[in-house]
Amino acid sequence: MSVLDDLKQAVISGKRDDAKALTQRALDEGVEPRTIVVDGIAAAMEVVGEKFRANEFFVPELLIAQRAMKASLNMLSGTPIDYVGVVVIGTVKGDLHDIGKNLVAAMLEGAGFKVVDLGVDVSPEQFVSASQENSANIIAMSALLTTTMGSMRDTVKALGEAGLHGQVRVLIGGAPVTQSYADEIKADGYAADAASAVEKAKGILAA
Amino acid sequence: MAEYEVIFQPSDISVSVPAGATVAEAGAAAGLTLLMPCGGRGRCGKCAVRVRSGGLCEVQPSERQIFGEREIAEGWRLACQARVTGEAEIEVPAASSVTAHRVQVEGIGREVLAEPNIRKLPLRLPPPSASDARDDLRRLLDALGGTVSAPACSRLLQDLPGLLRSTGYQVTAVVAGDSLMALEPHDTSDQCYGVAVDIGTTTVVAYLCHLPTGQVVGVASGLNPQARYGDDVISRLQYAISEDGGLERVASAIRESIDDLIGGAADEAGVPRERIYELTVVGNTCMTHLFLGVSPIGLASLPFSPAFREAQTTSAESLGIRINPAGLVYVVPNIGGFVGADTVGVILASELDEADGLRVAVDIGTNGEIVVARQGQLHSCSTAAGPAFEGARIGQGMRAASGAIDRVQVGEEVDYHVIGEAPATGLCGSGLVDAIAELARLGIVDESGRMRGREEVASLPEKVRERLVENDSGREFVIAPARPPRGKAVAVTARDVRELQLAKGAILAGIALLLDELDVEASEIEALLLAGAFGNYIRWESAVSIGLIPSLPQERIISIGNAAGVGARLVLCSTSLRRRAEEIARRVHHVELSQREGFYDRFAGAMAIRAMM
Repeated sequence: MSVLDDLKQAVISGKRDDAKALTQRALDEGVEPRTIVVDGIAAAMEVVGEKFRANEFFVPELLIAQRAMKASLNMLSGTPIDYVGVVVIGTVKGDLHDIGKNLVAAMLEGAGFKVVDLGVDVSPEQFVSASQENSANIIAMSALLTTTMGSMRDTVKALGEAGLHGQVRVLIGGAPVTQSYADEIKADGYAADAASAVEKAKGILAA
Repeated sequence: MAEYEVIFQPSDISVSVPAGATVAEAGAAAGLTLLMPCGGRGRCGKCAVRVRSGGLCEVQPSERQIFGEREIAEGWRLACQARVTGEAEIEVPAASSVTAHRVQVEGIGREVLAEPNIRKLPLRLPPPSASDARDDLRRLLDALGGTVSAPACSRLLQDLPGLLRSTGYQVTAVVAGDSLMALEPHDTSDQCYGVAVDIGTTTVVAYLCHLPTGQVVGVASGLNPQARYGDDVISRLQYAISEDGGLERVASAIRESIDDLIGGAADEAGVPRERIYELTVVGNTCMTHLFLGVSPIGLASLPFSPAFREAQTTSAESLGIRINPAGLVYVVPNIGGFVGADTVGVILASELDEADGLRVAVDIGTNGEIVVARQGQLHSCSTAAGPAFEGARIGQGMRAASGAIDRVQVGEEVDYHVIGEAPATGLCGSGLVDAIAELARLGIVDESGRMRGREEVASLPEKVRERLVENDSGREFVIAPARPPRGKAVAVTARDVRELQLAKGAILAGIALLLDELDVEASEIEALLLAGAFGNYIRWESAVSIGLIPSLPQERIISIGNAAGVGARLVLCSTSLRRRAEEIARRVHHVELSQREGFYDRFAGAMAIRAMM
């Protein structure tokens, strides 16, 4: 119990080396990788998200927590983890804003998803082929400009043309994005912030 | 060969010349340049001088063509025709000479020769006669030395015969470059004006300049009315491209505003609009597009390709700007991406293009343009810092106007200064930077930008601690307490600190990345120039202590005021500087930060609130 508490604190404070050491110790003590993710990492990222919302944490803190989280997860990648699901995430074509997208990626990963981050300026074709390559359950797209939002519609269309509609679900977000836009382009969900993105993603899988 | 002394007034310069030299040649020897558009052939009357006393040859026939009997009696001669035959004292009117007028550059003194694109040349044409039956147009163009072309059949040609005859062939030619723009009766050569305009995202400034001397005779400024379509470049751009008729509305707004500013400055200076012949314009790339009514759609997404980059010239009339009907508008070239004509203006004004040692110019405004220069190499980037420094997105942020807190200092108590000595209604950029610098110094805000709770700062004086409050929206530090009966307190919130971190992190990261491009360290910076109105008022100690700019000693941090506006004036008043600006725009290497690896990491690292680099 205490090793997972310590791991959680190490991730929250962005202490990468401690996180690695504690992950190893947990494995050595025979803790299931799944449990390490849920009670150590996911719990940590939930706290990070809370603190971000409360203005306690900001971008730099998120960044180092994310690094510590990745360091810990990397150590578990050889062992069987039941990922909750696979998400391909990116900021749409023509857009370069990624702070929000990075937070969502971190939260999803912390919640047990396998996350493939395609970065920014991602075309519909890139989203589709990445989801095929990774057998993704969800494509998550972010846009910060009304002018680039349209690319989300194109991606939904491209998914349909690849015969993946219904098989790969679509989750969207970003400042100009709304639920009604999501309905309009027939996306499967819209989330206003990172915490609700995790809930929505889980909900989409359950449906 | 006899030599005679010739004294020129009012400069009181004398020179010794051989007998038979023309007054023009004597002038040249004395360092005075006389205007001789017709090449010294006695055709234009531009080099008219007055003999106060002394020995010149007899009045030549060509001079009698130009001057009437009374003028000859008063001593008027053509310098290119009159030859020295004895000692003489010659008076040179201002209109006949080219003088170096000082165009003041705030912060960096500089003297520039006034050689504007627009020149007005008073002409006295010999009337038609049996021996000279040239057509009116040829007569006119000859007087201009044959180097000027006239516009194809136009209003000018239609008015020409009547104008020449009604004025006794004494007219003033208005020339733009090498083409004839307009013709006016008699001698209006001294009434020659232009306006330099700086279209800032938040503020627009117009400088009314007397072109022959380069002197500013009036300044008018106002808020950019495009703000109603968005307070930053991106939102304004989005409005223009996605709203029906959006581009027209945004374009009209800025043009009307400029037209108003010109009117205001002209009225105050007593200058008629028709005597204003040219506008030069600077602004960031998006502003220049919107001004010309060109869609900025390319700037809306990667790779941020504008519609045009090079300088653009058009007629003021086509933009609905009321100056002389033949008036021209010259838009300074852009550099690349969002880095535009205003940055070219800054480089030109501060001479960064000729800097030897490492120099950096930063515009701490909405767009956060940065230029790094060394040994002729120039690199630029735009950090899209956001309008926090101009008061936007800050809870009680406001522009630097009456009621804005612009200085904060904390000792035993919280002291602050308000612009206009009015009751405090908000914080402007410099006040925000001061406030956060003080809060960081006191430990109320930690390095990560988190605002601590009252219980965490027990060691501070009570009068300071009690200002740190917590309510439903979060923590805040009250700078100016509420004043009954109606007053509201002015505070800096925890959220405000985050907004500032984003803005200043972007700028510092931009500086760091450009320094990397040149493989140099911040400590090697010889001069860090702060441009933009904000640069004049920010306290360098606060800027350094919060890590907005690298830690440099005071003498290396220089405020250069509205250098972009100065650049626009330089381009208006000097054709060689206009060419230089075009060269600068071509030469600057524009760096697209978002494509640079590690930008996000640098950006995050630069957000810490402490002195850096």
